[in-house]
Amino acid sequence: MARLVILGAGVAGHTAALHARRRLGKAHEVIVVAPNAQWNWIPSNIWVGVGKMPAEKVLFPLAPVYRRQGIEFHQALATEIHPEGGDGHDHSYVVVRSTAKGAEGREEAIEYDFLINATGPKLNFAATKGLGPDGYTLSVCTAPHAAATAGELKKAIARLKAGEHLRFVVGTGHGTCTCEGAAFEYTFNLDHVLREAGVRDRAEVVYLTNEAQLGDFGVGGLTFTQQGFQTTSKLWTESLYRERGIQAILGAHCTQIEPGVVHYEQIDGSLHELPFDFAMLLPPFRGADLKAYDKAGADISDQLFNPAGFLKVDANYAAGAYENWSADDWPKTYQSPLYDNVFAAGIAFAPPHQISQPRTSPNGTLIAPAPPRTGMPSGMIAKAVVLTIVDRIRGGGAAAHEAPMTRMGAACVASAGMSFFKGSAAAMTMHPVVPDWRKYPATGRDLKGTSGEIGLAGHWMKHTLHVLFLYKAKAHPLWWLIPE
Amino acid sequence: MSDLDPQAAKQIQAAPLPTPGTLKHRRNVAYQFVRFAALNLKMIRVIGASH
Repeated sequence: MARLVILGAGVAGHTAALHARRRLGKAHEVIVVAPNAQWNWIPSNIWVGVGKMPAEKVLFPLAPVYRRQGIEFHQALATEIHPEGGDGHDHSYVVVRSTAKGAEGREEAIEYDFLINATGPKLNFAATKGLGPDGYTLSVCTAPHAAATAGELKKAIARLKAGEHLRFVVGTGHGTCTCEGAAFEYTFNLDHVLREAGVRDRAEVVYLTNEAQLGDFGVGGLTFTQQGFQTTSKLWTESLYRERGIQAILGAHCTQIEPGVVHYEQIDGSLHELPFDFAMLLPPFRGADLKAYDKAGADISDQLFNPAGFLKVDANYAAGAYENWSADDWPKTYQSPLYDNVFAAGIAFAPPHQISQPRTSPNGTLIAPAPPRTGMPSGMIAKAVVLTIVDRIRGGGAAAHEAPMTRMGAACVASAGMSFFKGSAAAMTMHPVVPDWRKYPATGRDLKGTSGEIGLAGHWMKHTLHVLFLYKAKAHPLWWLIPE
Repeated sequence: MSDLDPQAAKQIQAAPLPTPGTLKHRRNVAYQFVRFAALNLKMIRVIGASH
């Protein structure tokens, strides 16, 4: 009998758990450790954040799904990994601290044969003073955050209706944020809602981003074919900003938020203040607060994790300057180089570097979008890792399964307004996610697999994905037919 | 456009503005139904190439 322990139950962890349970016989154990009792379809938090969808529609309780599937669920936060055992354990184990009602703080050790770290991001609001719901800005990163943001938006719309003129700032709250696509979505959904309310003319909407150019999205932008021409996501996105009358501030690193004022630095080193009435700014991500110890109890966290707390895997972390980066730097198997029974999936793996070109201001401030690895890549990485583990449990000597982001495509549907007949979304596909300039010297990506399109069809696609992925996550019949 | 970021404002102002016809197409249910089918095919292609 083998035991697989999965830390985290987001897109990566939950996908891994369902696939592992389906492929492993009942003789083997699948255990999930996650601090939250509910699963959240995060892409739809945008609609919650503009008051178009109640939070309950993007959440469901994990325990009944895991009970039905035969997956052991511990509502707890993983705090320590002991890959060599120790302290009375012959086996590798993790220490977890319960977050379940009535058992808060209770610690236990769970031994494992295989471990998947799919802990996702720690929302690092503390990176910028005053950032986040505990400071002076709003967020849509979690369903409760999004619901609170919707409440504030409702109040702001009431003020606009009363005749006030307000400034809305949406974007990234730090120079190293990722998920610019989510900020983009919130900006255009906000615009849509303000137009619906008939108050857009009294609202100034500003997109504040760490991207050096619009349409970068943390992937260095896209080139695709449209009506017989090659165009770029930069031009395409700028066109949308022009059409909707949205202003942009590019290459910005927020240095501090005070009540009603964002302080930021731009790539040229200039410092600015931007007063606001409503601000939704995303935080940068860190890895979970996990420590690792060897058999003797010595702290080996800096060997297992990078400085940001993400698990090091089979990537090239010594690529150096941007000019030296290559597709070969990116991991394929997501296996820890130190322990062959430890893997990472989704945001929890340490990327070798950014995808977009990083920039440093004359003041030495790094302004560089972090590489996105949410959604489709998260799920595909999780599945590949599970297939490797299943092979090993079954005793096959097969090579590890691979899911490099340099060979993997992704679909990104960025909502620009939720309405069945008047909505729209920017639907993008890219293949691969990380450009491979050797294979595709002209644009870094396969032009046949890279596209961009704006329209109502995109909204229908986003809504279809909402329905399908919630169905899949609830493990309803034939869930496994829905691809990651 | 304001002077919050003059360079960004200049780039946005230089971007192509969709015509009323293009905007109409983006909301035309029949046309968008065809685009929805095309989008599905594109996504299936990307998913197929990745798995």
